[in-house]
Amino acid sequence: MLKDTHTAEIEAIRSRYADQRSAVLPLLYIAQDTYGYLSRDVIREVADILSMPYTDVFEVVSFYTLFYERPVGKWVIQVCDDVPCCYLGAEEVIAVIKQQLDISEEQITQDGMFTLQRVKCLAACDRAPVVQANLEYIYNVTPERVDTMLRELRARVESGEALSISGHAAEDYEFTANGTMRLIERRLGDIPGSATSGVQRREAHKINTQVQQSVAPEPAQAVAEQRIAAESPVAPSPDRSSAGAHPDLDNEDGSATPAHAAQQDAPRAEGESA
Amino acid sequence: MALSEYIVLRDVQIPDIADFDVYLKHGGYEALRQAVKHKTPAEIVTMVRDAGLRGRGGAGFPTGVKWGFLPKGVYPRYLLCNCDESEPGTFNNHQIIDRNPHQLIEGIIISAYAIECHTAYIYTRGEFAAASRTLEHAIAQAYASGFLGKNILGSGYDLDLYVHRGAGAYICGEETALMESLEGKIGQPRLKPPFPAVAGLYGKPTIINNVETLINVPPIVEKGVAWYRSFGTEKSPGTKAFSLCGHVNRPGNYELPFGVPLRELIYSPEYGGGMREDRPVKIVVPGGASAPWLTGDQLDVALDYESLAAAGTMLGSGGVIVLNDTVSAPHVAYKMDEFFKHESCGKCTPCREGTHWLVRVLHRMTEEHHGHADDIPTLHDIYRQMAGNCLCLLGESAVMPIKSALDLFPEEFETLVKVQHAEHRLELTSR
Repeated sequence: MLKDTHTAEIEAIRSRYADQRSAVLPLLYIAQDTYGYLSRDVIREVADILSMPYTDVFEVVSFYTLFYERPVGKWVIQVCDDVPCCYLGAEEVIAVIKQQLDISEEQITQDGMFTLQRVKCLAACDRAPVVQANLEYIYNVTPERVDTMLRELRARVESGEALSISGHAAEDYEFTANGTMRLIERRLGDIPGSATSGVQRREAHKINTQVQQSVAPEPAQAVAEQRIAAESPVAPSPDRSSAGAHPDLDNEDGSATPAHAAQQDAPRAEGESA
Repeated sequence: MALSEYIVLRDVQIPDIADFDVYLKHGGYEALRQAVKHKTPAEIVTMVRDAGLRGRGGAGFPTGVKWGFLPKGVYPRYLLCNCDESEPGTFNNHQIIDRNPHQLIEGIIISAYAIECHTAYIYTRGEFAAASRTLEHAIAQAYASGFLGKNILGSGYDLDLYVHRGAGAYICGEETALMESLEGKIGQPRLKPPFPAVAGLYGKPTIINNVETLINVPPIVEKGVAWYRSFGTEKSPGTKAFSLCGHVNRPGNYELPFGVPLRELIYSPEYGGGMREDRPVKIVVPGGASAPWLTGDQLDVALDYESLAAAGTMLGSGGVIVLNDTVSAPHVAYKMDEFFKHESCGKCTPCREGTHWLVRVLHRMTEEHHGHADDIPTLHDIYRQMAGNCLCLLGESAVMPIKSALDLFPEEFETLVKVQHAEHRLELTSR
């Protein structure tokens, strides 16, 4: 249960607000990362933590587009098809992704790796067409770059990296002139008096990779790992990221996970009153 | 006429300004020190009002005047920074929080001090996952240095600041919907009045300002009203970070003093660098998707609140979308109204039903190529039933693309209807 595994984080979030109900969005993000998606049981669990009526939380989950009531791929790929992206190649990008992955919008690939969605403006129109994968920006995605993008995302899963569909460790990416994808580095400076380093956050991915592969961290990495643990308010829980396994398949909604199942056709989780 | 001195997008001149040490080295948090040590809250409100700072989120309302609406002696009060930037063509808040977060945080602290509030939130859109982490890191640095928390810089003033990340809903940029969302509800706008300054977050007096508005506050406090007013025009002082995108060679955020001609923004080699493949400008949407359109023969309009209003449009969020002659006006209207339909919260009927029917008719015309003879009067009918009848500006905004397209390019709709109608009949008779 989240209230046992994430006690300190939940309390820290609750303390920010005069009314604990305000914590519902951050808690749903944590729940989604922990369990893979928001099943009816999970939504009720969040409602219980915040003493909210179940219907209120069901309503919130269905209102916001970044909460997933059905299982999704390890990567949720969201392509902006709004003006101006649609006039600068977004439709072609979507067509190539669909062809390469053999899925349509709102579907999951056979291997459970990708979900594809069309989304509205992502506020990066100067770098159109814009894609997000698990809320990590990937800028200037042309049809020719789709293959590189998908291979890069697959490689990160295969390396054992812990992913967050809610974007808790999000970094942003761009393409170099020779067509390779690179992480946009951020130089933020240290937090005075803290072990947390903000000079670069790139280590986050590397460190998570090390942890997941159970490779004994070298001393320098161990230090960095502590920094990351201190910096990241919501560490992805281990059960979610255990390589390859989808922890939610045996959940009440999980039996409807078959690859290629159109989410729109599946029955929506209905709100139930307390 | 590039700015010699940037106010908002200082990362253009100081690329590493997101780094706390770099920000401090360039005088960061000096304005805060001056404010909390040497100025009363009322003095700062007066400065911001005299500087003529206007809300950059879209409405252009004078910030100092807005702050003055708070009822006297009612506490607690809240300051909310609106960073739910989701209007198509608008992306300057994204760059600011990603690349110049400390100046925003400093602006929030000074503004919170000015309105005597002790809790502030930055509401970021859910998709700003990485940029929200940047903000959280910067806030942690500010706490660790005594710029946030208890007894800020020994002044006795306390402030807590938190990032609250939304979860994907454009409507939460509407200020009352933002408060609903922050209260853990679905983002549906409230009826006004009461206005947020009187009864806002948790029913308490609340001020909501855009990212670009608040980032102007430290320079105003540090360098003064006269300095600030040396930029821009009499009625629109200061600068604006215009987001330029579409079929231009150099899309991006460009900070300009108010009053620069639209043509300069598009064609100057310092800014847009002209049109791709030198094609002509067909449509300019000068203030985000909500703004009425301009055409290629209106490029001499000056980019300030008054001039754009006189040209029948608005400055809005400053998101300038430039489209060339390859686009079809009915299709642009379709895509833009599809956005508003997608983002309609469903609370009021004119918006919920109106956007739905606009998109249905436009989709049939532009995507299915089955225009009907009566589609044009139907489209006019739909938007007229929406205009002035929606609960908030989202529905009103959805009127702009279709009305602009019908007013400016009626022949494109007529051609679409006539040709398609004829083709359709031909198809039917040849079956």
